Amino acid sequence: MATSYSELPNELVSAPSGVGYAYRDTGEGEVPLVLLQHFRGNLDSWDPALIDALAANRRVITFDNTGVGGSTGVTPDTIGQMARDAIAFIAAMDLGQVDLLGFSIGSFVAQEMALIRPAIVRRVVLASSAPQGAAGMHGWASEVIGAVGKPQTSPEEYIGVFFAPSPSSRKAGQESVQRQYARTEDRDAATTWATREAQYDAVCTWGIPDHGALQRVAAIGQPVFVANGDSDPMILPHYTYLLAGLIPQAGVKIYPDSAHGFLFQHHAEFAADVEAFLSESC
Amino acid sequence: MNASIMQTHTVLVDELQIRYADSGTDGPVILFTSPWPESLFAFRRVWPALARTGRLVALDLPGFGHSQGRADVLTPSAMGGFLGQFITGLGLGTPHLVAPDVGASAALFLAARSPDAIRSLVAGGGGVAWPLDVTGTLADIIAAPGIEVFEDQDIRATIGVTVEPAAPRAQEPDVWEDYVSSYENGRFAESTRYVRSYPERLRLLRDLLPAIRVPVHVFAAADDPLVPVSNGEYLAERIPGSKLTILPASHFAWEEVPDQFAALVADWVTRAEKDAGQ
Repeated sequence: MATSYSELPNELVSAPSGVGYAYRDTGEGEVPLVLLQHFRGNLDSWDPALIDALAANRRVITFDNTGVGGSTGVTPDTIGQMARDAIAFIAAMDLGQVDLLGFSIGSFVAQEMALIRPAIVRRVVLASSAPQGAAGMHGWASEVIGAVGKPQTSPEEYIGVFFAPSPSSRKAGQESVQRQYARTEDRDAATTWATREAQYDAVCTWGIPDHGALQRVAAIGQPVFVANGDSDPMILPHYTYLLAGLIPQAGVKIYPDSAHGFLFQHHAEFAADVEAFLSESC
Repeated sequence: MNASIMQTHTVLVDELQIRYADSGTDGPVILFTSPWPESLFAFRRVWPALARTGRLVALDLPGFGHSQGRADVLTPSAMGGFLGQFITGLGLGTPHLVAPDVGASAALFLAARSPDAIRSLVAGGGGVAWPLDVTGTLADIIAAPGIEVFEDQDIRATIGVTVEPAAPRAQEPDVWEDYVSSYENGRFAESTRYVRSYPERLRLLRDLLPAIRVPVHVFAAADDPLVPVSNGEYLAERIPGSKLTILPASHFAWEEVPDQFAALVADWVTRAEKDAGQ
């Protein structure tokens, strides 16, 4: 049996910029799936159950972008620079063409990568996402940033945003947190306050209302799968439909009884949906 | 009236053979998309009057009329992208788009995603609302379990009856024949893919409507047995600055009340040109 995500070694690759990127690499396959993490998340913030399910059929790579967690450098404060840094990571790894799975702020970065360097992006999965400039996206709601934007965030606060209020979703949240913390040795470095500040600046800048910016994603020519939980308080499911409507080749799915972290709660179903999407013929 | 006043040509766009007509007259380009189950000849009655307003171009949408189709283009979302390619491919600049019936939802996707592609839009008479708000045969076609159920139909009978009021066979045999032959040999069943994607695609369209900045004039037929007026009201409520006109027609307004339809388009285009010039 393959090594579980929670047992993978942390590796490091250096880009010409001098930034050392921390990453984990698992599974086998032709086109690697590169994952882009959420606000303040690091390598340990991916639910191992999801990564293991995705890696059953393909190579999956998680990494810390510039300045995040175990990577060196300074976290940039724009989505555009984060996308350029992620492209630099892919180049440093010599991955060629990749599939992308961006989660939350990582999904903003994935959109930007598909726009900046379309040649290296084969297919895109956008989880808990929104298009740049959409009205109402200027920063998270106060209760959301109040819960996950503090210097120290508790598991309860994390579950409050990433999972729905129902008993079933909260239970799924506790299970996901347990899986994320099952790894006790060689954990990734925690994200810093400077990363939090830079990322939140990037989120707010991305969310400055801009009608005209909505047309940018119409240029994404790759097939895209857009998904969210039906009760996400951080990025409302409404934006999933907006984004999928703006992208010419987009499919959409909303998962029941779940929130921002729907992909961890419904890890088996989501992994199967992603697998089906990534293995479609044309 | 017969079809001879519209000369048709064929052009390859997105690897599809597309039939279109071009008046070649002077003025701003006004692009018309064919209604279903008809063809670009649906505009024969408004053609002479509107030729004084601008250069008229009408196309049979892929999979409709006598244009080649392909399954992946047969959704409002993909068709919107195709319209953008057609406009670029023919070098039409930034036309005014007139999109009745099935073209309406495609044109709205185009307007939302590529606001610089068209100068203005006249759209209506097609299913646009989500939750779905269509009735009669159209609702049945969307609800059918698969497109196979349409493959065995006698198209000359079913489509013939449908288009008879708009193009009576006795008076306009060439138009009637053009409509009916458009959907023979399995083409009707294939064309249903478009409306059958409404439940999924119109859900996406709903959230795009408030972002449309192209000037939009919505029309609806007062007694439409397939697409209730509420679809027009739905658009007018959601598209900023849009205008709604209800025409005294049952569905094929462009043929039932051609003078009013032509006047609506002519006034709208003339005004839009004047606004743009200021």
